[in-house]
Amino acid sequence: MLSNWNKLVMLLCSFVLLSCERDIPVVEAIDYNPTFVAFDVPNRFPTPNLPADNPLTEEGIALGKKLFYDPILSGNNTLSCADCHFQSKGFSDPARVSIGIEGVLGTKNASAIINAAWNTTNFWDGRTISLEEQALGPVTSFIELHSPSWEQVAQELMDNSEYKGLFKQAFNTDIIDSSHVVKAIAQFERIIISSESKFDKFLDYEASLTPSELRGKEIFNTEKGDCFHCHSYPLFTSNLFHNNGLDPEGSMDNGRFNVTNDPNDKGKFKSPTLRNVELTAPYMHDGRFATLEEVIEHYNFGGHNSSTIDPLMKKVDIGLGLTQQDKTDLISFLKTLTDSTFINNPEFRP
Amino acid sequence: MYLSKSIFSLLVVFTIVFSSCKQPGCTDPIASNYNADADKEDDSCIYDNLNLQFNLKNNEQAFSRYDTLNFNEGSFRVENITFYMSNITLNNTSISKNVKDVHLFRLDEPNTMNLEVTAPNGNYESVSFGLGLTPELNNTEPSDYPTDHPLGLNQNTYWPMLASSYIFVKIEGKMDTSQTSSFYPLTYHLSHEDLFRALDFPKSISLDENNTATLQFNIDLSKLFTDVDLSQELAHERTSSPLANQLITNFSNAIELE
Repeated sequence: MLSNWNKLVMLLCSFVLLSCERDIPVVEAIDYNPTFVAFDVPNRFPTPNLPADNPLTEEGIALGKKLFYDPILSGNNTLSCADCHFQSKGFSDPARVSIGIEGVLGTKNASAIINAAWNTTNFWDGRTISLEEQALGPVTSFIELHSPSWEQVAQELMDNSEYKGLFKQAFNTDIIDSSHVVKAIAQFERIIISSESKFDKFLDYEASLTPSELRGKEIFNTEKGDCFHCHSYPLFTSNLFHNNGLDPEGSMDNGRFNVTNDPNDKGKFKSPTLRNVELTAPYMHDGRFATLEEVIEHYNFGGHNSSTIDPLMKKVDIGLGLTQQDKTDLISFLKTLTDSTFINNPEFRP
Repeated sequence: MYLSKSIFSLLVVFTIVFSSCKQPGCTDPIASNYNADADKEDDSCIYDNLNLQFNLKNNEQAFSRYDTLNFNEGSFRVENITFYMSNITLNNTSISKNVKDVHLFRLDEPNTMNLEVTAPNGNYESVSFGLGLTPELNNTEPSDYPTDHPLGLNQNTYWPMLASSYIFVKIEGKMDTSQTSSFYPLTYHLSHEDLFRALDFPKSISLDENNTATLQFNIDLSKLFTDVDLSQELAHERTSSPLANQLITNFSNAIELE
């Protein structure tokens, strides 16, 4: 029999405990014990914005890599992400436009996946903000992996005992859906970092540039070549959209207009990174230029003027006036952006 | 004895329970009364009380991105205007209160045309800011900041090569000097510590709990090209050439407080 005092003590305790807001610990499954991975920011790079709801873990990255290389995400299990994003090519596609599982030609050259953690948008027209959102599209796209539905993809993964275990380890889930798949792929994409090119080593006083490379660097970073506005260090992309005068008025691809519906955005595309540009041919959104020489010739010609030509294309209709030696030097410099450590990195291989 | 044991129990329980309770207060760091020790929001936050709005004008007319300025020597279609303001300060005879270290106005980002800040209540006689960056800020670099910070990499306002500097003002668009609708790209990027301009705008400003003051700044773009030789090219490098000085002076003169 409790005394009145004890009753009062218990009553007050209950009242106070109930009125006090507490953090209730989440009981986690015993087989979910992810190893969190700190994002390694290269020297001179800023810290990227990483999503709080998809922290990097060893399990998530490993799962993302497996999915990236696995044709299981395609409608007929024949094509993977890696079939259009080759590590040896800076995770770009050497085909002018990528070919889907039914042999359907795409309309754009597959973008290189390099330092994607710093992307502010994805795709040539910037139609997605996050890498997670980006990874949603190609799986069901008619011209890409063309799976009938995300539900079907998820079911196939759940029917696979290995994947079932991997998703459990990475995300503590028994029910796999598209959000888990794209989170894993995005984690893998975020660690695909290139920051050890010859030029980076030059900045770190670990390598020297040849006279031609140094002249090319000067051309790149001054009005003479005027490359730096859209391709500045350290990412070698502005992450912005530009019309670089590829086509005259009336024959321009819609580009960014498809996203914003603003006529002022017609013919504008996201400037790609020039890191590993030696390996990422063909060039431009439609892969129209097969070589770096062709690219430089385009800028040397000046491009086509139009209502949406970028204000930074100051030599449109006039041309840069580069000599053959200037062009050779510029290409020499661009090749210093090749990162052999990156394209041979075993962490990125299947 | 039995009674005192119970009281003791009660005190112990209360002590333990109350010490584990959260401390109420304003937990929002952007509020003016943010309490760093508080870990339970109690809806007491007081928010910004000063609003600085920037409007583009062409003389008295409202002006928007992609509109065209017409003047004697030609026409200029404005595609982007970007400029830094630093050390934004409210002043009276006794204090100068910094209310914002740096702000980047971007015509292509409409939310940057309206700056809300928190300032101490009181009466002020002027608002001042630097057009461009103070030397301390200009000596930093984007890797020092989060990518979305006004000085971060995503703003594309940094000249990263030797003699590095932030670009204080960008004027980008297309010019037609032939009056034949034959527009060509024209871009001025103003970047040099000597181009920093300290601006002061006298204005009686009263801030209290019940008042959010709004300061309307007009940027009269009709003044942009006064005494500018449009045939002269401005190299995109850290320079304080006469042309760059003329342009920054014109831009300073274009900013007016209503």
